[in-house]
Amino acid sequence: MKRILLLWGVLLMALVGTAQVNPEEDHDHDGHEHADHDEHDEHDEHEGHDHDEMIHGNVWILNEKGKQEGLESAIIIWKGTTDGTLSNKKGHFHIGHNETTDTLLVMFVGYSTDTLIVPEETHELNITLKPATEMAAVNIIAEIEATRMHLRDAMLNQTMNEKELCKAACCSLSESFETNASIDASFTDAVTGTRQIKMLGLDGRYTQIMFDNIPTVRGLASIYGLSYLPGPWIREIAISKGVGSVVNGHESITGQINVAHKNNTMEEKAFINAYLGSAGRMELNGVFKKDFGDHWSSNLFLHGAQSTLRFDMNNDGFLDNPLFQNFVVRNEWQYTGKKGLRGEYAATYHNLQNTSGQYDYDPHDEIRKKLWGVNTNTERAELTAKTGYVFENKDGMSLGSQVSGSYHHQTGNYGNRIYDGQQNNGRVNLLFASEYNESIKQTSGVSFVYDDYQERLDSMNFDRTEQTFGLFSEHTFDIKKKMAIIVGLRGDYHNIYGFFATPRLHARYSLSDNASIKASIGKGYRSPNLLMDNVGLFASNRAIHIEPSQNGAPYGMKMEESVNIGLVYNQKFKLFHRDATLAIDAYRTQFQKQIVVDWETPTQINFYQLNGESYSNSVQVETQISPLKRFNVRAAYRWLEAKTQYKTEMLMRPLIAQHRAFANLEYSTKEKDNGAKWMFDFTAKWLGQQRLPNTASNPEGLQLAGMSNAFWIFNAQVSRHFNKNFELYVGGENLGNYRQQHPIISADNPNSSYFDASLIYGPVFGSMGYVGIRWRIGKK
Amino acid sequence: MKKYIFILIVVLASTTAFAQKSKKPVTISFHVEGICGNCEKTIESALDAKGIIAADYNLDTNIATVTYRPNKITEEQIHRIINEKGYDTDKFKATDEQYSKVHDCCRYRELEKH
Repeated sequence: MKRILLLWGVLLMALVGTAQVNPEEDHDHDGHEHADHDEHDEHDEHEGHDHDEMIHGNVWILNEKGKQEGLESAIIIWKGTTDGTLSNKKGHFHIGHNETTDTLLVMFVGYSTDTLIVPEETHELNITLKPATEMAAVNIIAEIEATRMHLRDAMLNQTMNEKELCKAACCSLSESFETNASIDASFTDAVTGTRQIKMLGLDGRYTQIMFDNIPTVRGLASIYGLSYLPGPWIREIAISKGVGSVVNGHESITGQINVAHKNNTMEEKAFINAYLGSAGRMELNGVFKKDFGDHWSSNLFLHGAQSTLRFDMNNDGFLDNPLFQNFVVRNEWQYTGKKGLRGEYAATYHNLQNTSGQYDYDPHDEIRKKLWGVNTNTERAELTAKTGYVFENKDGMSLGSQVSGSYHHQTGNYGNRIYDGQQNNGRVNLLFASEYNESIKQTSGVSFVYDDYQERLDSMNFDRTEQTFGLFSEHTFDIKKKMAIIVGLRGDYHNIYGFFATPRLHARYSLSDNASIKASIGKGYRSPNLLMDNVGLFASNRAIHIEPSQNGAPYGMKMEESVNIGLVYNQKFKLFHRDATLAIDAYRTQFQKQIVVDWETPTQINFYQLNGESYSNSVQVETQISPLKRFNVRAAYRWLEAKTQYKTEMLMRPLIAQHRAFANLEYSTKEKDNGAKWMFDFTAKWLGQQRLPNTASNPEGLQLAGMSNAFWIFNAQVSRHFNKNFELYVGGENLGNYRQQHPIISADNPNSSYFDASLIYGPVFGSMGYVGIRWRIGKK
Repeated sequence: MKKYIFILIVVLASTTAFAQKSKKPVTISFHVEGICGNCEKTIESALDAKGIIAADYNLDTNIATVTYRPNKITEEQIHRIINEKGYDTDKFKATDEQYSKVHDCCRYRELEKH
């Protein structure tokens, strides 16, 4: 709440700028028709007024009986200007149109600021301010994020802002969840250093991951996509567990993660981050902002990273970390126009090279390239255009369009496997939002998604084209501030899978000011994407077997289909005189159709259609307390049961801990007037035993135990803020130096059919240290 | 030795001076003029002072809620800390000199009366 308020405050600050508001003389006029020549004269001194085009308005509030009352001394000001006025005793005001902007802010302490788009032809305004609530604050924040967003808090679980992300090194998005209890982060294999996330006990592919509200981490980028977004570019990550909004498609099954890039709300002109890790990883990031006139602003993002040092700490003959060279650049333009027109246009280009495998492997050396190794090149380009148009203020009507396209091409070899995957994607999402009244809002629209895949593995060809045309509608009912219900329905027509419907329901009920219950239920669907979803298998010599279930479909498989149900209880309370929170959530994901990924036969991986039950139950308890000033403790425990019917038996899903505990301690010293302070952060994670896939039929010495060991991971970071603009951080990961024993089966003979680096449950690399700087230039 | 006697006297004097003041935390709420997140940050970090256990400034209601130990700090001192940063409370006003310190975006007095 505080965080949201702070953000909201920063926004308000940015909006008001150095505004000086000129109060209107307190005349006791009655009606709306209010024209006083004396006052006109008074306004002559102020720029931007047009005598003939005065706006006469009233600011209202609703009293306890629900009757309208005029609000005195409300501030009415043109956004970004010093041109403003105050309302009189009856709530009445008048103000001239402004030449530079059509965005009018109406604010009063204790009430949500109303932002209106006022076309030139408007001469009368009636504004009812609503008491500030948490939901309103969320709504305002959401408005910064996109051209048009909606009351979302019945869905949202958690947001991680920049401050949270600064608690760890967070080199890329895939590493940003180290201080989050809801998301499990692990490696896909012991060789490539690729990280994947799991939510509610299920693989990250079932979580819809969006960048700035556009689904991005999908298709061939379903796993790698997380590492394409550099951490220092991120402004905020919003995490919703359970089914998400139908507005963004049918793909979210276990949850939605929306990552917002830094944008024109950034306070500094330039942000520079440099990072150096003891494993030889070097990074340089820059985010720059510049305004061009009153309407345009632009952000330039740069990222370069490389790792060239070879390490083999566990002496298995394989590199513990990949060698890589990444370059990512992004340019975004934001338009804030007159007449309620808004736009965000961005282009991003990625070039990534990754080499891993046996210690001496070198793809460019005639002899050393015969060793077992992985060498991949990925090129990716994305274009996104979001345009929104807000109609007259009264009914909150708006139109929005999201158009995006991407080109993705990955080539390379994994040992002897030759992979070549290309995906061309196009997406159009058109939205229409309106308000029936104070408490009922809706968003409806149409979407079209096009994916053309050309995917080859050795002699196998998995080319496919998918086109999905969708219609959707989402209604939000806000009942006396106590209850919010979001009902969503979408219907999609897929060129191969035909028609399917996605109903979803979210509800929030406030038990008191400090306690609320949320519930959600809904369906989700996902097209098969077998290879890249399970890219860890490439780090093994397992033979790929697919049992087709539908002719002409991608990989010959049916679409996956699920229902997710969730219940969340949130409680705020006072402890040690400070605010504390408790959150308990329970989710169940049940698959009606699923592609079982069967690792249970060594030397093989089998994909087949689920015949029986597959589900995941997850319960999490998380609490945050502040036992001392500036000292925060967050602790969480998560239990899960994720089971799937395999060919012969019902088994726990492999490589995920049934029990997981998490604690994060954070302390900062008192901030000096110039912003100088120390910050200390410590994270401890405990992962219980994980089931390992069956290796009993392997020769002796190449078998694994049935279950992994439980283990702890400790991370710590100290950052020194020298002033408001410069900070140095030093940290350590895996301080307990825990390493998985024998992460690679048959490491000494990578050509044997038993070779397998994909059965990984813990860290491969031991303790690792890093140091970095964050430098903000030209901060207001 | 002289030094220790001196310290002892100071300690004794201070304990007697505060003898009737309780160690038990007291929570007070009062109005502070503030308009933006920057104000909130300034007010809250000013209240991060000795004797104050917890402090929260609510920008929506303009109410500061402070929990403190009366034997360590007085209610007036708390108000004065806020004045020091240029902010008016419902009991004490900041001087014009103090007010001149507030950030450009926080000039609440200009907002009220021009």
